[in-house]
This record gives sequence, structure tokens and C-alpha cells, in this order.
Amino acid sequence: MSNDVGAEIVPSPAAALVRLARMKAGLSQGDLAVRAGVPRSMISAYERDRRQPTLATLLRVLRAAGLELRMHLEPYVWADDAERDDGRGSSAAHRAQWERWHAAAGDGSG
Amino acid sequence: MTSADEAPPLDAEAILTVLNDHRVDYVVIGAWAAIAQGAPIGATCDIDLTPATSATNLDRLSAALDSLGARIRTEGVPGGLAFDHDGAGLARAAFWNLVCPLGELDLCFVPAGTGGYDDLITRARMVRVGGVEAAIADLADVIHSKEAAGRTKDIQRLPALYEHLRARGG
Repeated sequence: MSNDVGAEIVPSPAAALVRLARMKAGLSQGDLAVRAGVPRSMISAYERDRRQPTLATLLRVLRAAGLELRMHLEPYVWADDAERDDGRGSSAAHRAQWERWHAAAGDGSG
Repeated sequence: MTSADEAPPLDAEAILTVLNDHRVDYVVIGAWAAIAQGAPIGATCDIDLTPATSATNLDRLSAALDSLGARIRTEGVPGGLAFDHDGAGLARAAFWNLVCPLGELDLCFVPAGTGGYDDLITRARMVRVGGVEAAIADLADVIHSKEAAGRTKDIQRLPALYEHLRARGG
């Protein structure tokens, strides 16, 4: 499910896709639920990683938002491994750097 | 074996300082560019850069990589693999995953969904981070590149990036 990376709660891929689709479509959770034919609480549970949709349900929800998930398999790239990133991103050093960058952004990113 | 524990902690400011000292033209893209614009996402372990591709700039980049002690980042080889390079050699690959004592850096000449440096620099903003000033890709470009790349880890961060972009009126 979701992954706590330092100060950030990284959503599961399914949760991110449902939320992203709803945002792109400009729909409320209730709107999307009606279109997908599922309870609103289900959409909320997916987005909050309280439940994981089956792939078929995920595709149905995305379709209800007017979107299609296009899938293709790519060779695994070790240098891009998310878990590798996440494990190290949670270190105290990375959190400190993250805070410095945020502070700097607040001071002058415009 | 993973090198998660052996990888040097990222000192992005120091890496950018070396690039600036060598007068390399580049745009920071990826998660660091988003973080530098206040996006609420956690730090990643590397910094992504899109260099300008002129011969002069690539020669400067090559010299900067020498100064950084950059090596090819690869699984099972803590510290990376040594490689010989010059400007022309760097141009022969679309991207480079590198590691140096200051951390990991990825060079990508044309990030997915973008037109490379000449495209990104037109919307980039100069941001001072600590003691260093760097050209940072516009958040919309960061989002666009992550969406085009479509890797799972990119998708997982897109909702937060979209929300941040909308919150700031983008």
C-alpha cells in the first residue's frame, strides 16, 4: 500500500492513478463514484490506500473519468528503482536536505 | 546486493557548484526541481540534469564530471565504474546514470515529453539554493516529463505535483 518516505506519504500506484484521474477530469469523489457505479466511500478508500482495487475495477474507474490506462512493459532499470530511491530518501540526511530545499524555495523560488 | 547503504548521501548544492564553476549550462529537472519550487514530495537520492548540447558545453560538462570524480552508476559496484569521456563521447548516449563522492546525478539530454535544454530553459527559473544558483525546470515541465516517462515512481508523485501546481495557480 502507501509508503512513508520521510516527510512524504507516497501513495500506492493504484491510489495515485485514481486520484490523478479524478483531478484531471475535474470530478469530485462523488461524481466519479456515480460514473463508475461504485460507492463514493470506495473511491475515497482507493485514494487513501485503505483498499486496493482489482485491475479490472481500476480500469473501470479510470474509464469513468474519461481516461484509459495504456500499459507496456519496459526492461527493469536498476538505477530508476523506486524502492531503492525510497529507502534512501527516508534517511535523516535526505530529510534534512529536503527541508533545506523547501526553505530555500520558500525564500526565493518565485 | 543493492548499494543502498553504500551510496554517498546527495550534496546537490555541491554538485551544482562544481557545474557552475565549470560554466556548464544545464537545467535541473525531476524531483529536485519540484522540491526547489516547494512541491511537497520527499527527497530522492539523485539529481537530474539536462545539459545544453553544444560542443563547448559538453566539453565543460566533461571537465566538470572529471572534477566531481563521476563514474557510471551500476548495480553491485559501490562507487560506480570508471569511464573515459569527453564532450563528444557524452553526446553519444541519451542519458547517463552517474555517481560521485557528492552523490548520484543523472544526465538526460532530452527528458521524456520535453525538447531538451533549449526547450526547458525558456521556461526555467533561476533559483538560489543555499549558496548556489541554478536553472530549475518549470514545475509544469517537471510534471509533463514525469507523465511522459510513465514510470511507476513518477505516477505515484504526480497527484502531489499537480495539486502543488494548481495551488500556485499554474
